[in-house]
Amino acid sequence: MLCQKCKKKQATVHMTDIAGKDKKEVHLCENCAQNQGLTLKGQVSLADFLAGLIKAPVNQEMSRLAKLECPECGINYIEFQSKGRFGCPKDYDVFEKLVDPLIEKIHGANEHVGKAPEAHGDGAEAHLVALKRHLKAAIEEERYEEAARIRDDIKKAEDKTSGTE
Amino acid sequence: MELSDFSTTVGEWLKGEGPDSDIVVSSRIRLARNLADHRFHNRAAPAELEAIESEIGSFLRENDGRFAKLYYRMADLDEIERHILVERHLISREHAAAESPRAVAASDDERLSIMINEEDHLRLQVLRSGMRLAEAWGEIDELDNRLSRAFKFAFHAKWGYLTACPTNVGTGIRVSVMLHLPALVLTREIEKVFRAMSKINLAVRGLYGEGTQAYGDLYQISNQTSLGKQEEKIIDNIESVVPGVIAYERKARKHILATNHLQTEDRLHRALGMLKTARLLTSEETMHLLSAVRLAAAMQVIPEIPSSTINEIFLLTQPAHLQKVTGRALAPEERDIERASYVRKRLSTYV
Repeated sequence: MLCQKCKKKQATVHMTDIAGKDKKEVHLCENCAQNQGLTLKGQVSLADFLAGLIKAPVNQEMSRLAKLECPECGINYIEFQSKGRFGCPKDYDVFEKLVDPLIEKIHGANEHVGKAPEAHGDGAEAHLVALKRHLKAAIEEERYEEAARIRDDIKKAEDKTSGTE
Repeated sequence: MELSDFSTTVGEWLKGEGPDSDIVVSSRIRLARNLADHRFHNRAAPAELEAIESEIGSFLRENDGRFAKLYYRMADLDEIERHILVERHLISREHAAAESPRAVAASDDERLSIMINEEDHLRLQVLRSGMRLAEAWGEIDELDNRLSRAFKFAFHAKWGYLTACPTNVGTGIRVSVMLHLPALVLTREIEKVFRAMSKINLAVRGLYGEGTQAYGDLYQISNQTSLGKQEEKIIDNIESVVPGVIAYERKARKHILATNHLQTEDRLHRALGMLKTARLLTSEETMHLLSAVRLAAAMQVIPEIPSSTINEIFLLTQPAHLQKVTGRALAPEERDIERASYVRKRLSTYV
């Protein structure tokens, strides 16, 4: 939902304005809400508090880091500060020194102890998916002999998966 | 199933079943996941997002029978249809509003759903009726494992699953339980619940999550942080807190019935009377009155109305559903007329 006032930014402050019998839904972006002097307490999500939480880097090295651009997505830390969103997974490494204290502040911890992805690409299921993609391509490109072979492989792989699951 | 079926059915989470379903409406777990070799949603070009949508979408439809039928690209849906999905808790308001390539897949019973290209590439959700977090975790863990074998997720040795917003990094998990707490609202004890929850780092939110109001005395309790604890620990934490809130609400219900028996009965019967006779009903008033009827049914004051019926009315009278039921776009005032008429019909058999 866009901000009702500036109609440019995403509305993140949602409130019901009650004056006597009249009730009015108000949806504003953070800037417009602040300009209107609306109290933000309890109306803003944790994620939207981020911008305020991310302090400007203090020392010289930190400000150098903040100007670094991620080679993958082109974002720098200043941009991240204003949006509260990273541009790609690589940003976590590019801005590691700045991200580490931020994560600590948000979560009260800075090490993941939960689950990890299952080995990608090793599983029979991934193999099956790859085979089906090859089959589709083979049929589309009219390589019928190959397609027949792949179909046999798929059948074998399917028998295997249904046997193990 | 076609979108048109959504005007007559409700998802499994609104069946009013499961442990403690007199107070716990639903249990929800979501996991945020991103593909390792792509930019996050906010930085990816439309073509990249389209490729992600198509790759994940075809995998789901071709390899997981559960998602064969319900798969919608947002671009193919009009505004009412998108909002139907929001009201059914299958997508977020943000997912409905944005114009970039995005989609949603859901199982027939709507227990499992996957938003593609929301803030993160994948938002997996399991939604169950009643207090069933452990079961819900089993289901979503399995779905996550399945997907992780087919796609390479962005995962960091130290920080776990990487997300666009660092508030979701680590497990990417949000666990929430939706509770109906009318007696705590009536007795003005609800503030104490808020304070207690925030002290132990849990959030209390309204019906549609972040930034929404608690219509119909419905509150969601959920975790605030997603890193530093195992998924099971985060779930345990919520599971250990909710029984206390349930007991508190039950105590408050007993109290109002014991101390103000006639007044309470009167109030609840009047709510049913209003719903059965009103000619104009706003969505907010409907939720407010239904909350009283739900309480009346749970306290055996009006025991004959099943909670599944209350939930059905609750869902099908929300703006987008109502317009789907009626079969045309309605101005707000027309909606209030149609809503009142629908509710009268549905409740006419109850005394």
